[in-house]
Formats: sequence, C-alpha cells, structure tokens
Amino acid sequence: MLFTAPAFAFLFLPLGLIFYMLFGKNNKRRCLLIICCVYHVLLNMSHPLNFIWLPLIAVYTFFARKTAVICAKRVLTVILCAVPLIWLIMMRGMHYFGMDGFVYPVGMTVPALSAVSYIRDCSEDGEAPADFFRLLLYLAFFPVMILGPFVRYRDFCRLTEEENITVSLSGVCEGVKLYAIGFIKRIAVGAVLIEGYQWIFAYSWEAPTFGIVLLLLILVYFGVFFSVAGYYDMGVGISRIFGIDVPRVDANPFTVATFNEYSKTLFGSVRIWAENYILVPVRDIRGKKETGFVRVAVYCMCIFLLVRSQFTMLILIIPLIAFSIASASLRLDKMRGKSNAGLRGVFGMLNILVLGVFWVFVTMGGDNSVLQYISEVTVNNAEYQADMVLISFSGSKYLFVSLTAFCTVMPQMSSVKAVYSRMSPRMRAVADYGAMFVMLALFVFTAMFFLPQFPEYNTTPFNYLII
Amino acid sequence: MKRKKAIDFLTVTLFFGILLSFTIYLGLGAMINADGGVVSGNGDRNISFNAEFFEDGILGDFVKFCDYRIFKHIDDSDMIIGKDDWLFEAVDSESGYERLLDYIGGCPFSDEELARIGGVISERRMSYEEAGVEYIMIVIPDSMTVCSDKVPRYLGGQSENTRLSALTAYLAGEGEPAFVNPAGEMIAGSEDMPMYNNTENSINAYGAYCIYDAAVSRFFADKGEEADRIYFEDVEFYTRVTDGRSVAVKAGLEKTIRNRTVSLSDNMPQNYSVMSGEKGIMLTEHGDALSAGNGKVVVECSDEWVRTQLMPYFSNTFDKVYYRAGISAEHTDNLQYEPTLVVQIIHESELAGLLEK
Repeated sequence: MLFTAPAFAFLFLPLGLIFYMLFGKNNKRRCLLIICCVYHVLLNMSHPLNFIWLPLIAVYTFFARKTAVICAKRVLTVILCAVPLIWLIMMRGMHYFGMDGFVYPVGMTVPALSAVSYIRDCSEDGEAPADFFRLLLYLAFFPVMILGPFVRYRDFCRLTEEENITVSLSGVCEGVKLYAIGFIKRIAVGAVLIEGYQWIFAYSWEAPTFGIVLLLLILVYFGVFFSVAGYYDMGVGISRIFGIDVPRVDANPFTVATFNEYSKTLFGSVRIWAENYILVPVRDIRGKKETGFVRVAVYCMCIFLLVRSQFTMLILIIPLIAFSIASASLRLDKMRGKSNAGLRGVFGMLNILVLGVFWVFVTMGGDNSVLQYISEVTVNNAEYQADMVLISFSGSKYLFVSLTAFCTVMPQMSSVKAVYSRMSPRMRAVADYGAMFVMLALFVFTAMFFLPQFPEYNTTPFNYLII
Repeated sequence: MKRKKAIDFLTVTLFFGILLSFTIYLGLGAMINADGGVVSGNGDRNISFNAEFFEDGILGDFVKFCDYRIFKHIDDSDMIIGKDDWLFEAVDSESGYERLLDYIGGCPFSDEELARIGGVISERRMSYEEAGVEYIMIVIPDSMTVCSDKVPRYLGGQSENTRLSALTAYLAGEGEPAFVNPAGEMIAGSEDMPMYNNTENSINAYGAYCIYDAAVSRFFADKGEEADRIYFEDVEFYTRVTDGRSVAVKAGLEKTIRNRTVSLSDNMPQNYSVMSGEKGIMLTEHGDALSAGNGKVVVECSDEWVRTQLMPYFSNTFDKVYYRAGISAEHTDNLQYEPTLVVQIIHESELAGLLEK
C-alpha cells in the first residue's frame, strides 16, 4: 500500500487524518506512531514475515547506540553503524539473486540509513534524545519511509516536538497541494513516460535506430525524474498534512544542467546522508578536507548503490565524474540567472543524454546488455520503427502528459513567481483559484484515468529501483 | 489574508471531498463484493479495496473511452487508429502477418519467392486446364490496402513495393491469367460505399460483391453483358451500425467504436437451397431452372465469414456451388465435383503461405 495505491489515497489517508484530528489533540506524537505502525502493517500485509524487520532495526539501533555510548570507541561506532547497511545490502542481494520465498521489504532503505543517523547523532554529540518510542517513530515515519527526503534524527526530533507539530489550515492545504501534485507527477507523468519507454524498448530491442535511442533516453530521463520528484512531493505533502514540516524538495527537470544539480535535486537526501555519515567522519579522522573529485565519487557511489546495489553499476561512475568535473570546471552550477544560458542549455541536453544512459543501464539490470544494445544501433529498417513509435505516441495523450508535467513544475519557475508577484490582488485571486481548480481537476483525472492503468505501483514504488 | 484562508479552506474541503467520494464508492463496492464472496483476496480488506478499484468496470470503461475519444490513443501498439473510427492491426493477431511492415514495403518477396509463387499458381491452372476446368485465384486485399485513405497520415501512403502489388506486377509480366487482384476496382468502388468493416479486417456485403464481380467477370469474359450473372444494378445494399467487431473487441472498445457495415437488402432473392456435405463442405443448389447452364463451381476459402458473404452471389449464379473450407493444393480434390470453375480465395495476409505449397 504505497502512496499511489487506492487503499492509501482513498481510505488510509482520510481515515488516518480523521483519527489524528480526533485523538491527537494533546498527544500528536503517540497518535502519529499508531498511524505509522498501522501503515507498516498494511504495507506488509501480503508478506507478514516482513513485519519483523522494522522492529528489529529499531531494537538493534537502540541498543547499538547504548553500546556505542558506553564503549565510546570510534571504531566500534563505525562498525555498529555499518551493520544496518550490511543488512540492507544482504537483503538486496537476496532480492537480486531471487532467493526462494524471499520478498524484499519495500521501504527499508530509508530506515536503514536513518538507523545510522540515530546511532551517530545520539552517540557523538548527545544533542538528540535517545528515546525508544521517538526512535520507532523516526524509523517508521511512513511519509518519508519509502524514498525520503531523508531527515537527520536530530532534525526529526526538533520537528516532532509536540509544540512544533502544528496542524493548521494553511499547513494541511500546503500538504494537500504537494500530495496532489506529487500524485500527478508520479502517475500521470512518470508512470506514463516509463510505460512509453518500455513499449519502445520492447519493439526496438534488435537494431535500434539513433532516433529511437534518443527518444528512449529522453523518456527514461523525464520518466524517472517525475517519478522520484512525485514521491518526494507526496512524502513531504503527507508529512505536512500531519503537521510535520519536513523540508520541501524543489525538483524541476527543466532547470537542471549538470550532474551536480541533478543529484542535489533528485538525490539530495543521499548526498546529505553521505556528507554527514561518510565524508564528515572521514574528514574528522583524516583532519583535512577531501577533494571535489572524491566527494563526487562518494556521492555517485552512494546514489548508484541506492538505486541498484550491483557493483557493475560502479562502472558508470567514471563517465559521470568526468561529466561532473567538466561542468564544475566551467562553473556551470554558479551560472544560474547569468547570461551564459546557452552553455547551460548545451550541458542540460548532455545531462539528459548521460543520465538517460545511466537509467537505461539501471533498467537493463546493470549488465552488459546495454553495450550490446548500443552496438546494434543502425539506420536500417528505420521507417518501420519510426512508424511503430508514431503509433504508440499518436494522438494527444503524450501532449497532455507534457502539458501536465509543465503545469506541475510551473509554480517552481522563477519567471512564473516573478509574474505572480507583479499581479494585482484581484488577478492573484483569479490565478490562485484557477491554479486550485486545475490542480484538483488534474488530480481527479489522474485518479480516474491514469491510476487504473498502473496497478503495479500499489506495491512497487518504481519499476526498476529497489527502495 | 481572508482570500488565502478561503482558498485554503476550499482546497482542503474539495480535496478530502474527492477522496471521501472515492472511499464511499469503492468501499460500498468492496463491502458488497466481499459479502458476495466475489473478491479473491484472503480476507484482506486492503487488498480487496485496491482490487475493487482496479477491477471496477465503470472506471475501466471510462479509461478506454477517454483514451480513445479524448486522446485518440489505444493502449496497444499493434492497433492503428485510422480516420473516421477506422481501426487497423499492425500485426495480424491470427496469422502473425506483419501488415504494417508490408504496407510500407518492408518485407517484399524476393525474385526467387515471386517465381516460386508464380510457379505454384501456373501449375494449378494447368492442372485444371487439362481437366477442362477454369481456375481463378482471387486475393482479398487487406482493409489497409483498399481503405488507405483511412490510414493515419503519419504512416504515409502505401508502398509500391508491397507483396501483393509486387506479385501482381510479376504475374502480369509473366502473363498468368489465373491470378486476380481486385484491389484497383475495390479502391475505385469504395468511393461510393465502404467495402470493409471499420472495426475488423473483413469485407462486407459490398466488398463480397466486388470479389464476386472480379471472379465472374473473368469467367464470363467471352459472354460479355449477356452472361446470366448478378450485376450491381440487381443488388440493393443498406448500411447498418453494430457493436465494434474483432479489432475493437481486442482493444476493449466495442461499445465505444461502432461498426459500420454494408449488408444485402432483404429484397435479394435466395434462389438456392443450402445443404451440408461431407468433410465440412457446404453445397448450394440453384432452384431456378432458368439459371441452369452456368455449371458447377467450387469456391475455396479458409475464411467462413467471406464464404457467408459470397454465398448469395455465387449460389444465385451457378447451378451448384461447393464451398470448401481451406485451400486445397491438389486439383484432384475438386475434380470429383465435376466443376466448370474453381475459385480459390485467399487473403492478402496469406500470400506467404503459397510458398509452402
């Protein structure tokens, strides 16, 4: 029962909020913990054995922190922090090798990363409270449990102080908007684009043409972008509906020009985690700052292992680092808003192609078949393939999807914000009401038209990623 | 400030109103189905709620309706949406024939294949000629060939290098008289009325008349207009609308896309009686003594629908007509009926099958 499942959207979310409003007036955190536990049960209902993992991680993490504090040895803390990660890699390994009867527990990546955060944050500086129920809520906090955004334990404690949990009309409205937009991004844009990618892949497996390969890269790039961004929006939106002000992730694929910006936008959580729990400790031990090359390599490695824990994925680090260094040497990340839009545009296109190849590699299981596929690119039989593409993409469905995608990212665009700020109050009211009705209409249409076409996303957050 | 509050209130109220509407609609359905034991879930309310959503017939119809009517799109890359509610299949779902590939000239016969097919047809013709029987092989073109004006513009016009056109040109060059490709006449005739069902790659009564006309025109060539046969002026057609046929059914759009077909009027006389013969052969015998003299005909066709459509024409023209399912390679199979004419009817999609004979 993921965020796009009908049982979640039309049953769990409204009923959960009613329960929260009725019983959580004076004890929101406890109420939230009950809701999170119910979600966890419902999420794993079809595979009850997976119920045990979250409580086990919580118990381990709680006692690991205690051990780390008592022993006060840095090496021991590192080992204790590594255990949840090793456990995660083992689980993924069992999934990749298709162990009989084993079903990967969806949404265990973020709790494993969060466990490291708890052990380190509580044992190193002692600023965060070491409370078992707070820890359980932290690990089981379902809005960010599937994909993130990752919240450090100390920040989570601050956000979940009773006085900081405020269920206000504006907060709930903000949450509703984010959830609805995330839902639209995930299903009406991301899922449709990925489906188009799968179709084209299916009939161009042998001897693809250049045009087909280009279209594949664009589809997979935007498909993944909107899918992941949609999940972030839904996660943050649900958090805000329940009064917890998790920081928002502004992901706009049209303004991303470099790998650095891409990874910050889509995998900012992993970068934050890698920075705080890999680079900073290593920096403390070495006593000096790492080079930019090493930092990018660590980020890449963490992102690659997050999306697909296979070591063949690491091959792709080299071209991505090269691309990243090239854009850094041209200082493209700092060129935003300046006149050099042309170069950023060129790098933006390159970025789509490079990351498109990365995602094709992920979708093909990270093996060598992608090289075989590319080596078979041809110009023969181009007309037939082009016709098949035209059949799949005929009509106005993909035009509608493109417009929908544009509508979902429009509020984040600086030019749109500038125009809005210059409007008269009356025009702003018209724009606000218009935006509200468009968003709700798109949400209803997504729920009625697009959602019934994607039952697989009930239980799988992404088709190719193991999260 | 007041305005922002009003918008926030409206947004939250409408959003949860929408969610709760779904909750009530699906919840009621889930409860009804669970009580009736319809849901296959293991008593898991969560699973049955989701199943209720994804298996909801109204939502399913809505999806298909919107996909087709609003977006002009079908969730099947083998389906081609043509103009005016015409549907075509890129790949024949029964034979696997790659219709679109042939349409664009992507899978032409080689010279050697053309010669082989030409040899098969000539051999059959000569075998029948030796027995004093006229032999005609007539091809029913695909709907994409005849109704290419209904094919979407983005696919471009039909290639001149399709299998059928290449074979026709080759056999014309070889002077083979037995092979009849009525595509040109059908294209010209379809300006008045459609010859195919718009939701199935099958001819209607008017298309069947054109096939009949092509066959008997060849047979009665020496008699000219004195031949005792059915002329276009003798036949009345009417157009009727039914549920979408096989291609629409495959797309789940049989209720959304209506099939327009042309049928024979009830005024058409049926001067023959139908009898079932051995081995699935259907025999019709003319009851009108005036028609005696046109002789016996064997009509071979693997498509039952085509046989049904052709029956009123052939059976009203010839003394006895034997309708055989399938195409026999051996002429001796048909000579036992002492026919004056043997007509083998094949679809454009079956041309490659002649290579295997």
